[in-house]
Parts: sequence; structure tokens; C-alpha cells
Amino acid sequence: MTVETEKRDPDVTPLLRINDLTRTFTRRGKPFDAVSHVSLDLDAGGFVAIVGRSGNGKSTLINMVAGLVRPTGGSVAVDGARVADLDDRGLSLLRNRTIGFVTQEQTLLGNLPVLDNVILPATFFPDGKAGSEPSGERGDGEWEGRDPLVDRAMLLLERLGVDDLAGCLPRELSGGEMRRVSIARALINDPKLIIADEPTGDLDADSTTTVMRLLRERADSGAGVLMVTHDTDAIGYADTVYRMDAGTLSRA
Amino acid sequence: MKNKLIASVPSIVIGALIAIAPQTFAHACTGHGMFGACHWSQQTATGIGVVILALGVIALFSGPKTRMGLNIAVIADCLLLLAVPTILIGVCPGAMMHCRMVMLPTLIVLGVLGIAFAATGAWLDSRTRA
Amino acid sequence: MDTHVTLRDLPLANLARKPLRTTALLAVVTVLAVALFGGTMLGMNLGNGMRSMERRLGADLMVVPQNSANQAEALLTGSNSSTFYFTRDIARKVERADGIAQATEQTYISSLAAACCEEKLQIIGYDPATDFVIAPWVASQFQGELEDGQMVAGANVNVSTDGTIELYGRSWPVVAQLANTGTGLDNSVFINQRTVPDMVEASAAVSKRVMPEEYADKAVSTVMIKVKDGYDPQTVATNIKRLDTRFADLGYVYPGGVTAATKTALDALTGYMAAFVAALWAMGVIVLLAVFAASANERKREFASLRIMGATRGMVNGVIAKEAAAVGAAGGVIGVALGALGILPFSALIGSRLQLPYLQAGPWTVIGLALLAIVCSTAVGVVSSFAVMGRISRGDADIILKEGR
Repeated sequence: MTVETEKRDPDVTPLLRINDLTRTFTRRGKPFDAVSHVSLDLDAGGFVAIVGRSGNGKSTLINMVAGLVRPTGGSVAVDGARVADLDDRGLSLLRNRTIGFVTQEQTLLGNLPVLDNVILPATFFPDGKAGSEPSGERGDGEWEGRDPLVDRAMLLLERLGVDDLAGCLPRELSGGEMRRVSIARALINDPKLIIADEPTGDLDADSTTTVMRLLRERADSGAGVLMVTHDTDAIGYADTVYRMDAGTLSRA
Repeated sequence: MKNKLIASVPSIVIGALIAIAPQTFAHACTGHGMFGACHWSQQTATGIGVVILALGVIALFSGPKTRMGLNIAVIADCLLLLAVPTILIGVCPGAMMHCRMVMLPTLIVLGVLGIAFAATGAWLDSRTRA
Repeated sequence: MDTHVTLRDLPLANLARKPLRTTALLAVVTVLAVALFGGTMLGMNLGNGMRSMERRLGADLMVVPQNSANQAEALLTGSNSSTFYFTRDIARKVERADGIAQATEQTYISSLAAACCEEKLQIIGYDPATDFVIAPWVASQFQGELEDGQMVAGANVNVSTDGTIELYGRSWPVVAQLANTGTGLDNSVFINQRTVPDMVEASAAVSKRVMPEEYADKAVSTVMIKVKDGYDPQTVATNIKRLDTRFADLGYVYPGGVTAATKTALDALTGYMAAFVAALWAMGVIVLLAVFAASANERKREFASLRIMGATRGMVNGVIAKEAAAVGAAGGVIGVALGALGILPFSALIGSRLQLPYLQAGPWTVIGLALLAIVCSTAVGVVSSFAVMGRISRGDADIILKEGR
């Protein structure tokens, strides 16, 4: 079954266009579609949540969007570029600059302190936005006069309530703290498309509110947010909610 | 704890070697009618070795800042050790004499190792926030 | 100035946060570097000594007194000094044999320890008029006639600052000091043969007389012979024996044969050494490959994270390679430092213990070897890290993450 957003306009390229996307895996010698003919458009400023039981292809879907998993059929276009057509550098640039990915697994680098973990993605392609002024938000001036990247990272950590952990190593953090640091890392390059896999997975109610408000704020200021979640509290922040069932996507 | 051992054990071991070696395998030349330069270098090296050993033992019971100072003293002592058989006192002039063939190089190697270990220890201690 | 972290800092952070792994890797690379640097330098020094010895042995045949052949050989290769002689009339007769192109006489006297803190010296009296053995390489340091009473000193001989040597209670003027040869000749002084009786008298005055007075002016230790083209040294030796029945008892030393024997011993030694270093490197590379391959598995997640953040494959490989190169280079530097510390100051001791000609290579060669060892150590680290790159570049980042779950 195929579901499309009502706002689909053939003249305007949406931020994210998923078209008839399929990924087939083989389990015990039998092929099955983890993602089956899914189509979805997400415009700038939109906030989409996908819910559904585990093992129904949600993660595979968003990993294909980020170019981490190759689709068996169909296509993904992010910001006008077909992901399948990009070479390694193009795809890396897309992941680094256009997409902010909050993974379900803990993916902080264990050998770098929290602050460096957040800053690192901003330094991959130095000709880009690295070092530019923090967008919109302004701190209380405590970080003024320092490296602008450090400022921006500290602002994000502060927004997420983990700025006091900036000098800690990831192994000194709780699961929820690591999750919030990952979110700060995903947002450091002001991505146009934020992909979040269970962003509130190990967070308490207060932290969930903080994180969801931040994501909502990003959507309101023009970013597209694609979120996979189980969390009923989180669903409330989304504009549109889809249900993923046995590899197919439907309006919830 | 690890820093403490790195900043003290090498000094103890190398100090002991510096003290013992000239009196045993890396001895001064034998068979002189009278004591030559190598004899006095030998005795001085043993003295310096005992001092380095003592500094290492004290470092075992000291905090990082003190250990840094002790290791700087070890470096100075090792420099003195290098100077004794080369500049200050010297060894026998003959190239094939035991003191020149064994004692001098042994002392130089121990001195250089002592400096390297003490510098490492001091550097590690300088990085620990007090 | 930017003070924030960059990808360039990541390799060092990875090394610093895993001190145990880093130390283990460093130790392996250090052992390899010590073996390569030390082994190559030892082999090279032995080769230098060998070549130097070959150049110094200009004679095809040495005729020495009865029962002195072994002493004469030891004198050529090692640093054992000795005194032996027959009389000049025998020497003169020997020189008349058929097949001799050039012949010259030399007299060897072993001195007792001279002044305080001196070792034994080998005193070599030679005849500048007929000499063809010593003059060619003495010429590089000293031109002109060696006057009676003057000396040319070998490299290890201690010449006092006023240019004399104290020997048997007398000061002997030294006109030149020779370069290091790595052979027993470094502990020798060379005198004009006319000075030999003086030397004998001087020895009698202060200590044990080195030879009876009546022999002092006619003692000859060896006749050095260069054979004519078309003759081999053995034939010439036979010709000499034919001159007089007593000559069959004389010692005949073939320096070419001595050189060949030393060369065989040396080739065996350097061969074993090369095989040992090669085996060590083979094992080292296997160990490094194993360590890197094992760490590839546990670090897949870390490298997948970098990919998710938007690092290109090249950036991730760069991090891995830099980590390996840093360990390799550091291990190489430590290894070279340890090797240099173990070998360079002790070169005199090594030379005397090996009983083989041993001549320390010059500073530029040592620096070249050091660079070679460091480059090889770095390369072995980088090459081993390809094992990691191969593993992580396979498969999608997502699959890698799932495996790590």
C-alpha cells in the first residue's frame, strides 16, 4: 500500500522525497521485504513521526534515507539530490551537511570528550559552515570570545541540559545523557533534514520534553524532521504520524 | 599510582645500576700501579648512583609536584654522571682499556636512560591536575 | 586561533585513551626497529672491518719462524700482539726464491703495557725502502721518510698532546696517526726497521728485554712476499722450501687464505643475523596484523559512527592509517634510539669480543640506517592497518552497527 502526503505538489521539489522504496532481506533462505514500496514526501518545516512495532522496517527505512543502506528498489532524494547517484564524497557531504542523524545505537566516540564529540562533525569539510555564528539562539554570554564552534556546541549542550558534562568521556555518562549529546552532535551543522531514530528512547519525562521542544523548534525554523518512535509523548510534537506495519507505511 | 611508579621506580633501578655497575662488571682498569682517572670516575659514579637511588626512593613517598622536582634533580644528576667520565675526571686514554671500553659506555647508556625516564616521569606529573 | 578538535586529533586521542593497546603495539614495533637497525649496523660494521682488513693485507705470502704461523694469523685478524723472529740472513735467503715479485721484511715486537693506563702495543718495524704493504695506506696520512726513532701510530694508540708516545721510559715522536681500520693494526705503532735495536735497548733498560741483545739488529719476524704474475703463493712456498732443507720447518701464512677464512666466519654470522632479523620481522608483521585485525572487529562501531557523521571513506581510512603510522614511527624512533645506545658506545667492546674485524660505520651511514629503520617501522604499521580498512569498508554502515549490538 502506498500513502502520499496531501500536500504533494509536482512543481516544488520537497526536502525529502521517498519514491516506491523497497529493501529485500533474506531470512532463513526466504526473501522478505523489510521495506515494501514506501513513498513519502517531507517538506522543509515538516515534522513526521513514524510509529510501529519493532522489526517492521522503520530503522531500515531511515537508514536508506541517510544512504547507510542501499535500497533494492525505488529511490530517495534529499534536497534535490538522488541519494543513489551520489559518490562517496557527495554522500558523505550530504550526511554531514544536510542530514543530522540521531541513531538508535550509542555512536559517540569513546576516546573523545563530550564537547569534542559534538564539534567533530563540523570539522570534516572545513570550507563549509564550520566556525560560523551560532544560528538564532544566543547564550547568556558565558561562552563569548571563544572559538565560535565551541560556542555553538556549548549552546546546544546547554539547551539539552548536558553542558556541565562537556569535559566528560562518553563512558562516564548515563544512557539518557549520551542520547542528548548525540542529538547535540546531530544538530551542530544546522542540518536541513533531521533524522531521529528513537530520540527519546532512554529519556525521562523532563528530558523528553526538552528534546522534543528543540526538534519542534528546528522544524518551525525551517528544517524537516523525520522521527521514528515508540514514545506516545513524543508523537504529540509531530505534524503527521505514520504507522509502519510489515514494511508498508500508512497514515496513523 | 601509575604515575608515582613511573616517576620513581626507574630512578631507583637506574640509580642502583649506576652505583653497582662501576664496582662490578663495568669496573675501572685493574693493574695500575697507582689510581688513575678511571678509578676516581668509578668512585664518583657510584656516589652519584646512590644519590639518584635515594631521590627515587623519596619520590615513592611524595606528591606529584615534589616528584617533578625530584625528577628534575635526577636529570641534573644524570648530566653530572655523563660529565664525570668525559669532561670532569675522564678515563684512561687507551682505546682498548677496560674502563674506556666498558665503564664509559655503560655509564653513558645509564645516564641517557636515566634522563629519558626522569623526563618522562616529570612530564607525566606536570600533566596531572593538582 | 581555532582551539577546537579536528579529525587530525582523533588518531592521537584514540592512542592516548587506550594506553595498554598502544604500549603493546609500541613494544612490538620497537623490537622490530631495534632488530633492523642494530642487525643492519652490526652486519655493516663487520663488512667494513672485512673490507678494511683486505685492503691492509697487501702480501700474498708471509714467511714466519717455525711454530709462529698461528701467532702471525692472530696478529692479522685479532688484537693479539706477540713477538717472534728469525734472523736476517734467513730472510735474505728466503727472498732469493723463484717467483717472488716483491719481498719486504717486518719485525714485530709486543710491548708490555707502556705508561700507566696503557694497553699492550704491537710494535711493527718495517723497511721503507722495500715495503709494499704498509706504505700504501700510511701514505694517506703521512708522506715522506719515516726517520729513525720516529713512529706512525694506529688509530687506537694514545698519543699525548705533545705528539709523542711514552714507551719503555722514552718519548717517541709520532709523525702521523692512522685512521681506524677495525683490525689489530689499530693497536700498532710503526717504526723504521733501523729503530728496532733502539727499541730493544730501551726495553732492556726499563723492563724485561724483548729479545736477546745479539738479535736486536738482525731480528726479522716475517718476510712479506708478493708473488710474480703466473705464480701462486703455494708454489712460491714450495720454491722457498727447496732452497734449504731447514726452510721446510718455517711457518707459511697465506693472508688470502686468512681473509677467506675470516670471510667465511663473517658470512655465516651475518647470514644468521639476517635470517634472524627477517624471521623477527615476519613474526612482528603477523602479530601486528593480528592485533589490528582483532581491533577492527571491536572498533567497527567507532568507524561506522564516523561514517554516519559524514566522514568519507578516505577520512576514516586516514584516521586508521595515521594511528598506525604514529605507533610505527614512535616505535621506530624508540627502537633506533635504544639500538644506537646499545651499539654505538660499545663498538670497541663489540669489536674486541667478536674477534672479527669490526669497523664502526660513519655518522651519515648511521643516520641513513636510522631513517631506514624508522621508515620501515612506519610502513609496517600502515600496511598492517590495511587489515582494518579492508574489514570496515565491507558492508553497509548500518549492518556494521547492528553487528555491534
